Amino acid sequence: MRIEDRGSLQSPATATPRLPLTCRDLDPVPGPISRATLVLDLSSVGVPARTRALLSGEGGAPDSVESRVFRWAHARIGSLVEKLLSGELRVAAYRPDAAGLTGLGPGLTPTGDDVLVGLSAMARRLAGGGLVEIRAAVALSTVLAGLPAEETTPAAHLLLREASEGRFPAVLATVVELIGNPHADAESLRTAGARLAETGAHSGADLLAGALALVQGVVDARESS
Amino acid sequence: MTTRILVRPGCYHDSARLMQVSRELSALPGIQEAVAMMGTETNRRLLAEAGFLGTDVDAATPIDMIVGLRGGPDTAVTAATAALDRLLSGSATSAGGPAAPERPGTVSEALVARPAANLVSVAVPGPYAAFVAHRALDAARSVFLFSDNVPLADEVALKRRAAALGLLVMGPDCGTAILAGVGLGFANRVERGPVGIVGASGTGIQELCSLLDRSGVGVSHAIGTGSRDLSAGVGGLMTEAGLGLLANDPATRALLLVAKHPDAGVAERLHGLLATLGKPVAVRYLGEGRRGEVDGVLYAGSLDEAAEAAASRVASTPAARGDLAFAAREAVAPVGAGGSRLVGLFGGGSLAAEARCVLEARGIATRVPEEKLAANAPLPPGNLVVDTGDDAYTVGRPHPMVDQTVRCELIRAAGSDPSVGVLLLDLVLGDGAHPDPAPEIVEAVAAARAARGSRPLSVVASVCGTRRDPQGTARQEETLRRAGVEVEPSAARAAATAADLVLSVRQEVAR
Repeated sequence: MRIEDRGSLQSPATATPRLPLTCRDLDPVPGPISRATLVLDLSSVGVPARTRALLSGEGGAPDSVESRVFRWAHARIGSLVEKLLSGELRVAAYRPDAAGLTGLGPGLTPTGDDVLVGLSAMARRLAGGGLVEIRAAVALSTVLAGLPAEETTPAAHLLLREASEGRFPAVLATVVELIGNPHADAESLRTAGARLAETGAHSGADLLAGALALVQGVVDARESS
Repeated sequence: MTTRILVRPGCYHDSARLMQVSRELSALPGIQEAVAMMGTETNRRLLAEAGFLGTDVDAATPIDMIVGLRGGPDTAVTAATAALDRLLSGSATSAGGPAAPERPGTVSEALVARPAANLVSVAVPGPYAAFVAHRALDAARSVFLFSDNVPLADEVALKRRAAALGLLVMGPDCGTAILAGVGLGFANRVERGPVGIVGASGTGIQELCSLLDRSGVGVSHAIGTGSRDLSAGVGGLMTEAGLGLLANDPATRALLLVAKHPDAGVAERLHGLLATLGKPVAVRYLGEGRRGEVDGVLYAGSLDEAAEAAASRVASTPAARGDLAFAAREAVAPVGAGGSRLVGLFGGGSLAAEARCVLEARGIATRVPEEKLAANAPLPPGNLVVDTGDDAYTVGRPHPMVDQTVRCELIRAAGSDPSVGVLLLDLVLGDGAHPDPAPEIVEAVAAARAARGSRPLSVVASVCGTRRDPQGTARQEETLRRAGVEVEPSAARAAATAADLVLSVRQEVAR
């Protein structure tokens, strides 16, 4: 090829391209995590409507695709949380629900994948704090690593792979590290939660849903016991 | 009630755009529900369960967009289908307003719109970039690949294929190129001229352009290769291709190569090529010391030396030599008891590397802080050089060459610290960069100085820009100077000045 003068070459738009979320390792857990701290933290985080819809399974116009996304996701999140809290160690037990979430919903990283990443981050954190069986959290990570690339978008697949290796989007990691941390103040958690919720079109709200589902699960389980 | 499901193969947009498509279609008359999603298997099942059925959908993959439409009468759904195509081609408007600027969604759309184009510029999220770039190669077009976060294996495959086809893949993570006078990405406005540049470093290319422009020398082409091209994995595929093109280009009389940290094996192989190009060549490997001339190839100790060497080889009259051999400079004004630490806050990563190299050559040890600097936390000890364009500082916001918020906060914070005596900065101008960066920098410097009271703060800044850059290089420099900022024409020169300032403070303290 020769470099030729062609008047038709156009400068690209000068906008900076969007980068996928930068991932990092979670900081070590400072010590055991108490349920009382989790209860307080849950009341500090602002929960966006979309996150609430995923946590409750209720939202969107009746019979709309959106409402189905919330229902499908909610059922599977509930099942995964239950297994994590019951200390389920078999990788295969997590696979059907994870497979039902991957590739589910709108976005370049679909809702279901974001939820899985949020859930896995929180599982690791609470395992470090003694509230989730460590081997159960590892089993969930193992499932994420094994989800087939062809069942979701390339961006989501990369994100799942990072999560399975313990690296999470920095905006999520910050929130997860503040939850259950007795040294953290409510204002930092509120700010970090709001920042996560604002990330992407709805990725942030979906990641937050995954994380909060497990926290809510721990709190509810202790209340009923 | 009609339901329809449509597939747009190889068509994907960021989540915000997908949401916008869903919203705009839902707002059309007669449309009850419109949903745009990627064609994953789970989504296909979900849509089927919601009553959106169609045979096309079965073949959809996660990189295809599927759109479900429900409404009535039939004509409303048909109208929405047409609106979808307008929306995706970027020419649509929500309420019949003026047409949006052209922004093709796929390579084929782009080539239909501009069939004569011989290059495709790609800036999509990393995981999709290789797919799009291959479509451009399919169509026998070279690629400018702005996207980063592209897997190494994809880069190698793209570049091997391009090399076999005699095409270029500039990138991934390619910030700058200037081809036949047309700037791509972040580029300075240069005159056409006799020096050709190949670079694995965006701001490195820009600094060379700026230095050549200051010597009155123009650029034939500047070919970016992406930051990893000289790694062992990629093996310098596009650097070789670019050098080959420039060697055969009659308008190019001298060549410059700039890269960060080349792999030793790759550098050795390239040396063989460079030595036999038949044209004068100067190389600047950022972060490395001067090696001088080897087999006719000059391995310069700074971008300034490389640019000067190229300029002197093509100039009809020898260019006036600067003091870039770092001979004795004019004595700089002592900074008084303002503190003896230096903090460099850069927008250009390569310029930060260049500055460190010069500082260290002058006996000023510097370090890159391990932790991200925060405006509300104490500065780590020592002389610091920070690239505020690093990923850690750019999460969720544009590069500091575009948005200086974070850098200005750090200027205020570091400048207010009484242990800091010298701030070292860079300003990168040109298309794509901040439209008027100097006033923001000046304001941050003034705030820092005000916070220090009577303790002086020296500020040295390099300005990377050409006479034709839209920000007005002379005006930017004047704004800085009026605010008591020492302005230098290159990062290396600014670092040398900053080093002199630090040393003069040390001497004063010793006295």
